[in-house]
This record gives sequence, structure tokens and C-alpha cells, in this order.
Amino acid sequence: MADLLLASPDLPAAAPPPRSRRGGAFFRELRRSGTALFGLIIIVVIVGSALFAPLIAPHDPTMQSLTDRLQPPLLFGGTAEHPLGTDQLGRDLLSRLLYGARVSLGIAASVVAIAGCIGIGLGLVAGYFGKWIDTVIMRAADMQLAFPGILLDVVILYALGPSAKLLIIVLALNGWMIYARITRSLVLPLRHAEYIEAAEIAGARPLRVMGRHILPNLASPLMTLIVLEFARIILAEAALSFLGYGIQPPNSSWGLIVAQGQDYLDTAWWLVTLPGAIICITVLSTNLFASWLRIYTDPRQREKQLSRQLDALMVSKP
Amino acid sequence: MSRAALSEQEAADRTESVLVRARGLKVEYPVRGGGRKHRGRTVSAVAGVDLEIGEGETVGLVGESGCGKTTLGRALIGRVPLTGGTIEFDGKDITNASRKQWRELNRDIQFVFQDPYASLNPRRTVGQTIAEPLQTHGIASGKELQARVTELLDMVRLPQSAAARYPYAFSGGQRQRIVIARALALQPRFIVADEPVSALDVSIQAQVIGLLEDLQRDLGLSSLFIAHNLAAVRHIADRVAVMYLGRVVELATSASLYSAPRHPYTQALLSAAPIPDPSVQRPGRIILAGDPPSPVDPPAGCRFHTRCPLAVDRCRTEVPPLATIAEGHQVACWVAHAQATIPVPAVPPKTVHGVPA
Repeated sequence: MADLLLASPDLPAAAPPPRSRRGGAFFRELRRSGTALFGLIIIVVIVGSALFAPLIAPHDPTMQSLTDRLQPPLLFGGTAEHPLGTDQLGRDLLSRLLYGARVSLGIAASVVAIAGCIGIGLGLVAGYFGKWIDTVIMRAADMQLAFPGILLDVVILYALGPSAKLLIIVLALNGWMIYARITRSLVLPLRHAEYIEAAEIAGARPLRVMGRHILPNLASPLMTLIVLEFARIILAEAALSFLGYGIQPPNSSWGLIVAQGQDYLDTAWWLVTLPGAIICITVLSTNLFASWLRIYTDPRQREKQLSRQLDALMVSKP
Repeated sequence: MSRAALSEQEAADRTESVLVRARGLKVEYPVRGGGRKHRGRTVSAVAGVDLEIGEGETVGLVGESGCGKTTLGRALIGRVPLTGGTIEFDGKDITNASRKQWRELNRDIQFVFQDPYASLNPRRTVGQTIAEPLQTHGIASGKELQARVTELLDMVRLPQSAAARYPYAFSGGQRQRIVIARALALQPRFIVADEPVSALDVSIQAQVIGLLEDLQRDLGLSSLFIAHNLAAVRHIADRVAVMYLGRVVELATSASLYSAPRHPYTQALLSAAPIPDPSVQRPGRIILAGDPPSPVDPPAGCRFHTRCPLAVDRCRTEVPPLATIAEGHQVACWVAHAQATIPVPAVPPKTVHGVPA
């Protein structure tokens, strides 16, 4: 009897490879969401222009030309020579923004990578093992969260002398807690999930359980957190550079360009406004993309998507 | 053909080579919260259970929700800390096995979860899931691993193409077959199946039970098959244990238990099962009053006496032991003992609440 019932397993013979399905659906879904697509395009343009800055930039970002100082942007009476105008030393603002993007985005990416690895790793360990390990890690995170972050950054950078490397380290040391706390809170409900227990009974050791079974299930919320943190670090770096504890001249970052332009706000508004707008657009685009990513990567959302595909299949084949 | 039709003699032979032996198994949990009233008290989920499972034997474990059957099953795979008793597997004492030792023991002792939707990792393909035990124990890799996975899928009657797909593409019955394939990957000798079909549609239950039955016969597996209704284990189990509030109240061969249940609780359970034939005259249905008492504060004596239609004074003070009253039939009930066809060995009188019983 059992054989009869099992004779026709309701499986299509050829299973489409899951990777391509996800890749194709990703862009199809993305196209449907206008804001997310806008966000992603802006991010790609900014990252791309930062990567190819030497090819795109019309001038050397450090080249001074006092005769050309404080020229307005092209549409406000400037020349095509300096499309976004020049600063108080006659340096081309567009070139400075392009090279500044490399620094700002590079620092944000490094900080997110370092803080993310530390925080996610500690969060996994705390959530999976629990007991005293959890207590030690989480109390350390609490202690560090009790300090006002930016103040601690300023003190350390002031004491040790500002540099890009130290800036990355300081921001990373100050940013791991949020990853640890969120990772831990995501691990806890999974800790006693049946499939985690099943993996343990199957003989998986803790490292394998954490890496292969728990972490992939946290990928979507953590991806969203990483993108949001990326935006936050851009702001933090800009703030520290603005205060003079971050990137030092002659290098430039977006925050530093704003800081250097503030004395000329009443005569050359573009020196503050344009880099400020770039920071704003980058952070906004990142956040727009992150909020769409959060919904898209939610498995429940994916299930809905699957049922939509099934419905479409039913309609086409009556 | 039916396993239930095994002769008493054959069943007795099986139990001669005992594979799993639990003695006086106790699991207690401290009560959390609950205010001053419950401070320092414990829930006794399993209150002294003796159970033996023979080589190749299937024992059904039946009881209502909260009676401790799942806890007992989990205790047998080392997932629940014991507060008393011992467990032996294949003659070795595994009561205090460490996590590391359990990793090795899981080669022989595997578990099938109740809910096939929760026990498969949604981010891993079916092939990865089934291959995992073989990889982590270093049994197979590469081509050989692929071959083993295909073989296992074949064993649970799933096509080879299933390996590349994710669990969401499968129905409940198919998922449970995947779970079974994973449990069988290490060629275990003993499987605890915790209500493996209760999360499935009734129409699918039969095929999964049929599959398990075939596999157990073909592979010579021993198993503990947990269920919350007697009908589910009728055909698969050689012997059936009925649990009530942490204790086994009746343990008998399937044939004996279903034809002549002796414990009033078993009788009530059997009478509650619907008979899908309107022409069959139903014997009087026994309806139990009230809910099971709280395991935080279990009744003295026989734990069933608060709801038992036959309870006598003795039941309220003395705990009835699980005693053999007929060939292959054990029951823990004073009334049944009194009616036994073979004399019940006298037990030393126990004191309850300091009063000699």
C-alpha cells in the first residue's frame, strides 16, 4: 500500500539550480522597487567613481592655483574647467570629492569589515555557548556602550595622534558591540531550533554548527545591519574629520572638505554644501537599499514570492 | 505479516538481547518563577521509568500531551539531564556520557523529530542535510558521499534530483522522509522517533509509518516510537508502553494490549479512539473527568487515582509497581493486580507520607 502511495512523488524531474533563480529574482524584484533601485544605482555610481577617481578626476586634487581660488560651480557662473568650483586654495572641488570618496568609503568599508568580524564572531559565541561566556562578552559590550562613543574616539585620537589607520581601529573598536548584540539576539531563538539540534545529533561540532547552520540563517538581518552601519561610519568619519581628529590634510575626505570650507560659508557656499550633499545622498541611498534588502532576504517574503511563481505557473498551464 | 501478529514467544525471544535498558529513569525540572508557592519545587516530567528495548524491537510509547513521553525519548538520546536512574546501551552504561562521548554514541543512536518543518535547515539543500552526518564523522567524501546520499534518498523513496533542492520545495511527508534519511545515514542501531507523523496530514501518515516499518524490518533497527494516540503505533510496535504523568502504567505486547488492556487509563484511551465503521457497535465509552493533575504537585499513591473510575483506598496511598500479570503484560494498577491470572509478587510495603501503608 505504501508503495502505491509513494509511486508518484510530486516532484518535477528537473530542479532548476537555486543560485540562478535567486540571482534572476534579485534584479526582477529590485526593478519593482523604485527607491531601492535608485539607492543601488547611486551607490554603484559613487563607489565606481571612487574606484576610478584617477581616470575621472579632471585635476590633481592637491594642486593649488591661487588665481583660480573660490570659483563657483559651472551653473553658478563658473567654468567647465572646474565643474563644481574651487576651494580657497584653488583646488578643484570635483577632483577633491572623488579622491575624498576613496578615503571615506575605504575607511567605512574597513571599519565595517573589522567591527563586523569581531562583533558577529563574539555574538555567535555568546549566543551559542551561553552561560559564563555569554555573560563575559555581553557585559564587555555593555561596558563599552556606556561610554559616549564619539568622545572616546576623540580622546584616543587626540592622545595618540590622528591617522587613517588609527581612525579605522578606533571606529572598529567602538562599533563591534552592535554586531555582537544583534547577532546574539538572533542566535538565541535559533539556539534551540530543531534543525540546530538535529545538526548536533548528526555530529556537527560547535564551529560547524555556528558557521554552517546558524550564520547562514542570520545572513539577511546581518547584511542589513552591515549596510546601515556602513552609512553610520561614513557619518562618524565625517564628524571626526570635521572636528580635526580624523583625516589630516593634504589628504581629503568628505568630512574634512566640509570642515575646511566652513570659514567660507558666506562667500563660497558650495565648499560646504556639495560635500554635505554627497554625504547625505550616499547615506540615504544606502539606507533605502538596506531597508529593501531586509524585506527581500526575509525567508517569509521569499515564500510569498514562491507562491506567486506557482500561481503564475498554474495560470499559464490550465 | 503484521508485526502486531508476532507470537508471544517471538516477542519474548527478542527481549533476550536487550539493546537499550533504562532503569528508574527520572527527569525533574526546577520550577521557574511562579512566586513563593512554587519556589524550590520541581516538575517531575519522568518519575522513575524502567524500559527495555530489545535488538530489532520496536516499542511504542503512548500518552497524552505533557505526560513526559517526549522528555523520556530525549533522555534516551542524551539531550536531557537526568536526575536519577541509569541508561545502558548495548551493555555499556551511558548514563553520564559527556557531550564528546554522545557524539560517538549518536552513530548508533539517532533521533527523528516531530516537526519536519522545523528540523530541516531552510538554508541547506537536501543533499547537504543528508550528507552532514557522513561528513562530520568522516565516513565518506567526494564521489562516495554522493553515492551514499543517492542511496539514502532511494531508501526513503525520493528521486536523486531531490538532493539539489531546498526543503521549502517539499511537502510535509517528503520532508519527514528526508529527516528519516538523515537519521539513517550513520546506520544507527537504535532510533527514537518523537511523534514522527503527528505533524503530518492523516493521508500522509500511513505512508510514512509504512516506510518506517519497512526500513526497520530491512535494517533490523530497534526503535522507540513515541505517539499520542494508540492507533498510530498499533501496527508498527512490537510492544507498547502507556505513560501517564511521568510513569509507565502499562507495558505489554501489542496483541495483548489492544485486545485486553488492563489499566483503566489504557482502557479509556482505547475507548476514545474512533472506529471508522458505523456498523460496529461501540462498547461503552469511558470518559475521564477533569484534566491530568499538575506534575509539580502529583497525587500521592497511584498518579491516576484522581480520575480513575475504579480507584480504591489503597490507590490513594501506595504507588502500584509495574508488575507482570500475564505473559508479556505488565501493569501498574492495584485493581488489575488483584485480578491477575498469575500471582503478582508481593512488594515490600512502602511508606507514604511517613505512614506505613
